[in-house]
Amino acid sequence: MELNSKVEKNLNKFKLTQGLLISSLPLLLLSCTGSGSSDSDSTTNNDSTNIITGLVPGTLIEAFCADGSYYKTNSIDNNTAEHPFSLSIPSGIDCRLVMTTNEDNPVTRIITPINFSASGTESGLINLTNNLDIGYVPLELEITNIVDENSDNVVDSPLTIALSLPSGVTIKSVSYDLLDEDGDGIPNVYEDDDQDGIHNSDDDDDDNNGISDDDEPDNKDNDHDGIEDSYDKDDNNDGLKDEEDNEDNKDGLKDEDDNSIDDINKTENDGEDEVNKDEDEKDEDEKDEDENSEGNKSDEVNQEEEQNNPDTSETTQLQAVSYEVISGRLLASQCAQCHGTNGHSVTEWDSLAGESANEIIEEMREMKAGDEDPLMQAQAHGYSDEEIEALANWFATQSSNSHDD
Amino acid sequence: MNAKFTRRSLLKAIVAATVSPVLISSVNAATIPHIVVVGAGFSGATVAKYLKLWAGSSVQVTIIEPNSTYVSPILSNLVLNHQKTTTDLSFSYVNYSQKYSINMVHDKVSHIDKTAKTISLENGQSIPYDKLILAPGIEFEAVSGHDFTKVPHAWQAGEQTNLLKSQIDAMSDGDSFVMSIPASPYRCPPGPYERACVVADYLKNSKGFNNCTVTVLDENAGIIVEADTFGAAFNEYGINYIPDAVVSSVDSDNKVVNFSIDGGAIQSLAATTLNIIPNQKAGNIVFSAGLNSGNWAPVNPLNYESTMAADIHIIGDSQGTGMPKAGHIGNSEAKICADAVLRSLNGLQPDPAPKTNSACYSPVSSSTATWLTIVYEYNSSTQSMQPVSVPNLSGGYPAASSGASTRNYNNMFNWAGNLFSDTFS
Ligand SMILES: Cc1cc2nc3c(=O)[nH]c(=O)nc-3n(C[C@H](O)[C@H](O)[C@H](O)COP(=O)(O)OP(=O)(O)OC[C@H]3O[C@@H](n4cnc5c(N)ncnc54)[C@H](O)[C@@H]3O)c2cc1C
Repeated sequence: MELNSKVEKNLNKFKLTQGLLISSLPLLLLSCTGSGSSDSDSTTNNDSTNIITGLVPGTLIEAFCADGSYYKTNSIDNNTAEHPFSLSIPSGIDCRLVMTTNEDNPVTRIITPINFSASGTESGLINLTNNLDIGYVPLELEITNIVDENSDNVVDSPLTIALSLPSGVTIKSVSYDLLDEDGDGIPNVYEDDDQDGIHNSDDDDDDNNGISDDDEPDNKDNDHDGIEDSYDKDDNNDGLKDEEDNEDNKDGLKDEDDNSIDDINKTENDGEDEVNKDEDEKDEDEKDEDENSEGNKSDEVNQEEEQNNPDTSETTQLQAVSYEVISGRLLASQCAQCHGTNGHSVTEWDSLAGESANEIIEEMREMKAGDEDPLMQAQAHGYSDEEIEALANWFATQSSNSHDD
Repeated sequence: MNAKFTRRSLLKAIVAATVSPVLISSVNAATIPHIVVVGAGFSGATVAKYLKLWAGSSVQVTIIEPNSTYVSPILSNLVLNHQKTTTDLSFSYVNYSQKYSINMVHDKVSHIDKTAKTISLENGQSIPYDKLILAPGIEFEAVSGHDFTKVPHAWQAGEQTNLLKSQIDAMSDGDSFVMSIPASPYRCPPGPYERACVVADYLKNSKGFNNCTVTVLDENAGIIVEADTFGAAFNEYGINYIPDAVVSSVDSDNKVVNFSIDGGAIQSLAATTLNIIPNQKAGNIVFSAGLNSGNWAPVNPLNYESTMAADIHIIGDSQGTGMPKAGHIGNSEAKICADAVLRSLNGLQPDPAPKTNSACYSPVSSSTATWLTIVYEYNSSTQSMQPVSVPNLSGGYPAASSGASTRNYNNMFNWAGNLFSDTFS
């Protein structure tokens, strides 16, 4: 049957992938973030970047990132079979890579989403706070060799590159990713939701309802990357950030003349316009029926799979959380409603960050005794001496000028 | 896994299931825990922020919220007397979600599958969770004949607030304002009394109308909080206060409310502007998921986990601990919940002695306000939250301001500014 040959092809490709074990060296010379960058993504400076390098057959390399930003580069023809490339992506932001060979020929081009595997984790989501060299990537050049059920030039499963990771590089295995909502390793932009052979980002009518996507009232994700336009730093994936891009939703209107919601900066009345909202939701329902019409078949097979292999879906393990119970922090967080996150007030009321433990303890004692500030007096009475000491000691660890942690 | 299985993922699954042991082992690789938060009001936005603040990229947090702008009910009575606009009270999630790397999905959750641990959105998409936190706020009990688009409740802020404002703006001298107060517990205990004062003050002192009437139909037996202060203000404004008044139906076109006092005969009252605030219950999703007992969701106050389902937590107005339904304490609960969820993902027990606190500032005119505050502790024998016993604080909890003042009015904005930023930025 046809399916068998496809599986075989898939297997061949798989062997290829397995044989590919690249150890990558951190390119210290190229490093532009310096050392000591934090691994917490809540503190990342969005403007710093890291570089991903490697060797490919002549190829377009694209990166789709969780903040909606988009980056691309072409490899450089050095007259060998292995062309070097170098692509800057934002530090500390999860990104997915896609590589396209024969990129200038719409008939023979091959679009290959990339997965990485390292120490037991396999995922297409990569997060850099250091530079990464991925070595040679053996991309397919011959369109007839790929498995592409719906003939949209996108391979049906990603190519996996095994890496041993330098520090500052993480491969993230997640159960849900906005950039790849169905979790198959093919980013949303290269899905073909209506199975018409044109992947979503090229498909002007991605639900085949006869209405151009630009004219659909519920078109909230112009570039189909999964990040709604108002959250998308580059909502037409042209490589220009919206703030620098004066024409970013392809409707021919400059942003300042355009009433539709296509900007990074939200319009004031979005949330209040509830009547319109309802209409939008109905439209989404409609679109949905389209998507589900091919879902039945998958469900059936999916059930079979579960029967044959009851373990696979049940044994998802969770990674440990990097969470330390720090004495006083939870209690101190209960002061933040009035004194700001981590003790950084944004109003005339006192900041607690930057005060010494003794100052806070002394103030709380005075508050309890006096009635100068009756609300604070009432609050102070709610905490025991031990609790006050614990929260004061925690505030004392907070510097007065760092605003986020 | 996702219900929206595409052909590609299907093919991959077949390969995985039948022939390739290597792929199976990668399927089993440990994933980053995914925490889904439903609703991004005061409690939901706080819990998502603190999960990321405290655990960084080691957890993945996704918010499902239908509205792209949140309009705060806190301070919204000040829209009625033109001291604030709903724009002043609006918060976008754009900078917030980028700052903490939170996934934002603007949709409504329509179904929870507790066994598969997935939620479904109205657009049909299904999303897996490891921990689910519900923060859907309140829903209203139906009142016969009540059409919100004609007789606003204005108890969720935004369009409703502006509708009530425009109806009050259209009043002339001699017109009547009638409002109802729901049976306790409801969202923000002092809020309705505050509203009656703000509207009466506005009609009298800002518009200069000496012949308007303000009538309050309270389903409770008396003013339930700050009775001295609100009672004094009601007297000063000449507000007609009717306790034990149960609203039975509304004629929304003619602005007539039918009610009975203390179980007596049905009476009718016609108004120029009618503001019916119906009785309240947990958000619909709590009911459709079978997580309610009566009108609210029973939870363990050590971690806010539902007592009816594992790995589902409920915070904010929907939870049924008996603590007040208010934004400040919703923010407070959210932090206890975030800490407990993160501990639990690492196999640790929740903090055995959590503390929460509540604060409400109530404007009673365009330049004066009152306040109310409580600190709660966990009682391990009753397994519930109770006000801390404070023998050295005269009057104990709840503690309230001695009266309305301008100092309180100014402090109200210092308080709200930090509460808003601790929640939404
Ligand atoms: C006039 C007034 C004055 C007030 N003053 C104070 C005060 O001084 N102090 C104080 O502490 N509190 C005050 N409050 C109360 C406070 O506003 C509420 O208690 C608070 O908003 C409750 O927070 P929450 O997170 O539970 O719900 P909300 O803030 O209502 O948020 C719930 C969110 O969930 C979303 N949602 C609902 N269902 C779903 C679903 N199925 N899927 C996805 N999303 C969903 C909604 O869109 C909404 O954004 C006041 C309220 C009013 C009306």
